[in-house]
Amino acid sequence: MIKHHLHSEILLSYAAGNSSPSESLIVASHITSCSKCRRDVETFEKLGGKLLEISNSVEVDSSSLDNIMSRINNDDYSIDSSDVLGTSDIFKNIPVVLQKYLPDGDSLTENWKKGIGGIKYFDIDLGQSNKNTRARMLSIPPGKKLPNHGHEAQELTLVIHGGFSDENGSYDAGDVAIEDENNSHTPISDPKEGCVCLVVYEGKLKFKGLFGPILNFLKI
Amino acid sequence: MFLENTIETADISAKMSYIDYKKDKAYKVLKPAVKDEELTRLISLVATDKDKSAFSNLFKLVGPRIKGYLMKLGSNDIVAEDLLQEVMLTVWRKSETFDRSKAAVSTWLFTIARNKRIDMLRKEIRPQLDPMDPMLTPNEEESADDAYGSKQQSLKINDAISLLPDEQSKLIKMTYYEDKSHSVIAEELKMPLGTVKSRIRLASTRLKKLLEGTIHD
Repeated sequence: MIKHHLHSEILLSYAAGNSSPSESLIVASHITSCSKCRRDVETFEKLGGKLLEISNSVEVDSSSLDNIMSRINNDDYSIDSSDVLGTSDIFKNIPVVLQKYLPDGDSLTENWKKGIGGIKYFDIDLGQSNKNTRARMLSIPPGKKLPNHGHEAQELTLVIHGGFSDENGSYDAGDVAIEDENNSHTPISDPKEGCVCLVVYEGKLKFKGLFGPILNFLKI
Repeated sequence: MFLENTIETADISAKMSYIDYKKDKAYKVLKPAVKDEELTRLISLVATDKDKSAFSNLFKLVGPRIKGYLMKLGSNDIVAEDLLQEVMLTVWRKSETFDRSKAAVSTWLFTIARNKRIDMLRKEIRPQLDPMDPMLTPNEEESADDAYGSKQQSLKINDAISLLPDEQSKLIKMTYYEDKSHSVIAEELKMPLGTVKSRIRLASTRLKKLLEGTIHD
C-alpha cells in the first residue's frame, strides 16, 4: 500500500508534457505501482484532450493529406515486441520504464559504481540538456544512516526495494519522498533489506554531517 | 482571462461546427458525442483492417483541430504541419493501442501530440509509463467507459476550467499552452520557485477535485 505520493503539480507537468526527462522517469515509475497518482495523471490528460477539442480548427495544407497517405502506403512499421522487458530476474519488481535505463549483470547492482560505506550507485543517462537535473540509482546496505543533508532544490526519491525512514516517516517500495531547499533529513535504510531507490534531483545535495565534505566531493 | 478566453474559444468552436455543418451536410447529424463515436469507429477500422479510406476520413476530421491546437501552443504553420504528419503517422501505427474504455479520442490524440512535440521540438527523451508493464496495479475505480459517461465527463471538464479563479487558470494555461516548466514560470512571474509550485499545486488539486465532481463551488 503506497503511503507517500507525488505532489499534484508534478503530475500535472508530466501530463502536460513539460517535466524534465528525469522527473518524467520518476513519475512514470511511481504511477506504475500507484493507481491513485496514475488516475490523477489520466484526469490531467483528459483535460489536455479537452483543450485540444476546443482549439480552433486551422486549415490544413492541401498537400498534407497526400503526404500522409503516401507515407502510410510505404510504411513498414510493426510494433516491436522484443523490447518488452521484465523477464530477467535481476529486474524483478522494477518498473519496465526504469529497467530500460539500467545496466545488465548477474545481480542488479553488479555494474554499478562503488561509493563509500557499501553504497553503490548508477547514474542514468537521459541525454539531458540540463545537467543540473539528474537521475541516480542508489543501493544502500541495511541499517545505514546517511549524514544529515539539505538540498539546493527539489529532490524526489522513489523506493524500489526495501525502504528507509527519516524525520518525516517511513518509506517502502513505491513510496516517494519529496525534499526541497527548505528541509534537511537524516535517512536510515531498512535494517533488514537496505534500500534500492531512484533519486532525481536538481542541484547538488548539501551534506552537513561529519562525512559531508567527502560525500559532497564524491557527489553521492 | 483564461476564463473569457475559454468561453470565447468554445464559442468559436461552436461557430466552427456550425460552419462545418453549413459546408458539409454530413455534419448535420454529427453532434459532439456522435462525432466522438464516429472517430472511434474510424480508428477501429484503421486498427483492425488498416483501412486507408477510414484513415483519410479521420485525417480530414481531426487534422485541422490538431493543427490549430499545435499552433496555439506556439508552433508556426510549417512546424505545425510537420508535427501533424508525425501525429497522424503515429495514429496509423498505434491505432490498436487506442482503448475506448480507457480514454476519449481527444485524450488519446492529446497524448500523441504531446509526445511528438517533446520528440521533435525539445529533442528530449520522455520516459513514460509502459501500459503493458506486468507490475501495473489495477485501477481502484472503473472509469466512465460508456459513451454517455464520457460525455458527462467532458461537460464537467468544461465547467471545471471556467470555475477556476483567474490566477489559477493562468498557471494551468501556462503549463498546458505555453509548455513552461515551473522554473521558467517562476522567472517570468518573478516569483520564488517554491511559491509557483505551491500555487500550481493548489490550482491543480482544485481542478482535479472539480473534475472528479467532489466540490461544486
